[in-house]
Amino acid sequence: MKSSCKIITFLISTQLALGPNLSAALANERTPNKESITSPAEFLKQVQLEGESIFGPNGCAKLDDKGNVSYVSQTTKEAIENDEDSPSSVDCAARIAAYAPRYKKAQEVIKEFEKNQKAEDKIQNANCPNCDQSGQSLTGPVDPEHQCSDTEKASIQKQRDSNPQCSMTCELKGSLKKTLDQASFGILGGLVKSSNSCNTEKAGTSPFGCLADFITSLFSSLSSMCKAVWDGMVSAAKGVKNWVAGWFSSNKKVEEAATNAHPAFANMSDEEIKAAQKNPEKANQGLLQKIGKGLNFILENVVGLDTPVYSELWQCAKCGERLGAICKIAGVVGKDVIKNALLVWLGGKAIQGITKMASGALKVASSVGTKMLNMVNKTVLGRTAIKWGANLVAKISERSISGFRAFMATRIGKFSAIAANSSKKVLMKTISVSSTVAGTVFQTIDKVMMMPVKITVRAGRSVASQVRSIMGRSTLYSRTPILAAEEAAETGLRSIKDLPSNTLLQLEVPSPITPAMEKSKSFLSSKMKGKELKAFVEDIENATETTLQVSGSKAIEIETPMGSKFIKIENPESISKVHVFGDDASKAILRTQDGKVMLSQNGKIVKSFSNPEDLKKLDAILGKDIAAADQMALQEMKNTAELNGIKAQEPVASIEPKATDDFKVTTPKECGDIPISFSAMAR
Amino acid sequence: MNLLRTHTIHLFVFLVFSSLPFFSNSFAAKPSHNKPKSEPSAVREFAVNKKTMKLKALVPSGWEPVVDVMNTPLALLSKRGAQDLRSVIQIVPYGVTDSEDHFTKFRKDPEEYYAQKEEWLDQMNGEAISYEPFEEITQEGSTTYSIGIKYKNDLGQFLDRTFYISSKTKGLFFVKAVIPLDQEDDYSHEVNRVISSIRLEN
Repeated sequence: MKSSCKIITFLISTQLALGPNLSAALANERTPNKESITSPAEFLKQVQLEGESIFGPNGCAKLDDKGNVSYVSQTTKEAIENDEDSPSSVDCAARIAAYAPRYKKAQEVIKEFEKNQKAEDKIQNANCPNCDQSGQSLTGPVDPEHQCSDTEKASIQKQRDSNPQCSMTCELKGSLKKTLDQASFGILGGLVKSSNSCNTEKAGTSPFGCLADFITSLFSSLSSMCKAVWDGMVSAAKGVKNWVAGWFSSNKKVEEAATNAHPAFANMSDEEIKAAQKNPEKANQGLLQKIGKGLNFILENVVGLDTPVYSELWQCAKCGERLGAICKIAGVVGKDVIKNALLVWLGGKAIQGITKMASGALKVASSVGTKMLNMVNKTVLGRTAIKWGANLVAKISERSISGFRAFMATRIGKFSAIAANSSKKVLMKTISVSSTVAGTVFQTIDKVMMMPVKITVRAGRSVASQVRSIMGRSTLYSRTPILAAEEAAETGLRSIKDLPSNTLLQLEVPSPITPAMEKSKSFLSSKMKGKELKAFVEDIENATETTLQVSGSKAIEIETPMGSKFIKIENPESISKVHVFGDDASKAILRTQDGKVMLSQNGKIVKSFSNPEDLKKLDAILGKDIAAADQMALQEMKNTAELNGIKAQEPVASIEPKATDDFKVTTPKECGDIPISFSAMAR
Repeated sequence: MNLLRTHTIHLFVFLVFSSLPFFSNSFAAKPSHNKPKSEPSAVREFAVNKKTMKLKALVPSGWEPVVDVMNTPLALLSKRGAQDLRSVIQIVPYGVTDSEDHFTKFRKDPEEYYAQKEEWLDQMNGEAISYEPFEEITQEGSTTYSIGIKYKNDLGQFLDRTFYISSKTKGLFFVKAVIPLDQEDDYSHEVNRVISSIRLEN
């Protein structure tokens, strides 16, 4: 009962915090027939269509090369000048305002794709030397030019059948053998010892070396749990300096390995169990064979599904081409997608998703479209490109909001006087007065939009929901969602005493956007500047010591996905830490240097605590969560750095594990010899 | 309809791969409806990690132990349920005891766990149904930290629970128990019994 209350609280607060539109979008996203992989392409397509509807022949405005806007409809322009509050009068301007960041984003996405394409080509080339570098090879697993006659087909099939090397399992074994020296697979280590007609020395040396890469990834994810638990212990011991977030996260590897192995266990037949009880090693080999079958299944089905042309070509594919096809498919749909599909396959279910995604990707790749879609064909569908697409197109997702929030908790550094003007009015006036200024407006909005991208590139959510997320947010600049949000139930920050326990989730009280807050949004002011990514990254090591840079103002400015928010306070320089709740920062807990705690709601301090007893209670309730939030913030920054190709150095542990007489243990041989002292782990 | 599809796929896989040697019937194999003779619940001893460690654990009646398969030192598997899947308890011993209660000094992060699971579910085309709260239970000299999530993915619907068992005498363990939701009522109690039975043997 307790847990369901929590969940309801979380769901309700999430729904309200996100606003009805976005919540609805996310709800739609949960329908079973989602196709998420092509979302970067979809996003670009949407932006293109949206732009045409605004700036096209029947649109309400014109946009020149410099980004200047001129209105086609005099009525609209006049209406904006004369009647700012009429919904119809602001329609075109609002549409442009909503479109601008998306357009910029699309450009950015394409630019990034182009930028990363060279690196991507290189990776693909290493994985699949037979794939050419132009990206054309991604149009299908088999070369479309490779036609053959019926006689040739029969001959090719004969060659395939008579060659024991021509099997996915054989190739996997060879690849695995090659990678065994480099990675610890624990108990699975004996996997390739048995011999069959497949020559493992010969296998795995084919030009389709991506299998070796693939198999390393797959088996690493099933890596020795024994080793993983020890790695977790060691990293937890080293985590004294706050790098490792804590118990569950430091043991991520074992959690992951156990989770990955689960489907295969859950689907073991009675016969398999009996065989495994007799001979575990043989059972492990059975696992490899299953994986080989799964890969074959993917190949057969991807090729056959919805793409008769490839089905025909498939029969012309020689052994090497068939084996190599998995490399190409990995290039199209992503290695991790295949890996996860295979894990489901081990659980006895058909690989539905992968075939769907691959065929979707093939369709998109073979379609002839506009320049933008051509770009998509060439670049978006690459493995890394998808990742980049997801991160660039995405801003903040439902589930990464907590991460963002935590991140922001250490990112409160700026202050500013609160802009007195209604931002909405400023926006509309600016556009109606001068088209040159409009260009600046675009840039400013873009900066606002870009900031969360730079700091919340947490991967994981499906691209579809991330795209919806960005759409939901960008429409915040138009009127409708704001009005809708105003209708959301107003729920105040509950008093600390009422909080049933100490979880972060329960602090996530709904945060409706009020007109007052909307007015305080001063993103159009020149003071709002987008920080460079570099600045964030450089701060990583000192992040826990980040202090406020406050001088001479009566407010603290917080960057949020919804623009800047301000908290009015008498002595901003006394604040040592701010913890933000709600992605519009509508709730916050402020701590002062002398230990006081204040609660802020909608930009105002609503409660202060200085009584030592109260503070003690607060610490008990909030302490853990806030500490955890700091850890998440660090993780967030680390992720950001990594995703942007910047290597984040893990701080050297201040306490090195060293053996002590009273507690010297050595991990089992299977885990490698890791001398470790438990006393070193004490914080 | 789903059932039909599953059967079709199984049949297809069977036809395609039946010529392969060992394990060729993995996917064609249907759950056995002939009830095997179930042994009564009993605490049994296992030599795991290629016989480098010994541990004891309760094997509930009708469950089967598997040692050192898929890098799992000990896995206990229930009978197949309505979803055609087994409940699985994976047990990983650390090989040491926690004589100074060091586990208590580590920070426990439910948020990190949930985030990690959500991320994984995204990749698996799944979604969370609910979160199980973090719990810390001390009894008979052992502290068990647990957390979990209910989720659904292409494979089915599950209750997935992670346990860390810490004891000055019984040892340190990581345990994962994944129960298909249709078996939750039948096996939740069994999981708890198994958890409290696990101990290292010298």
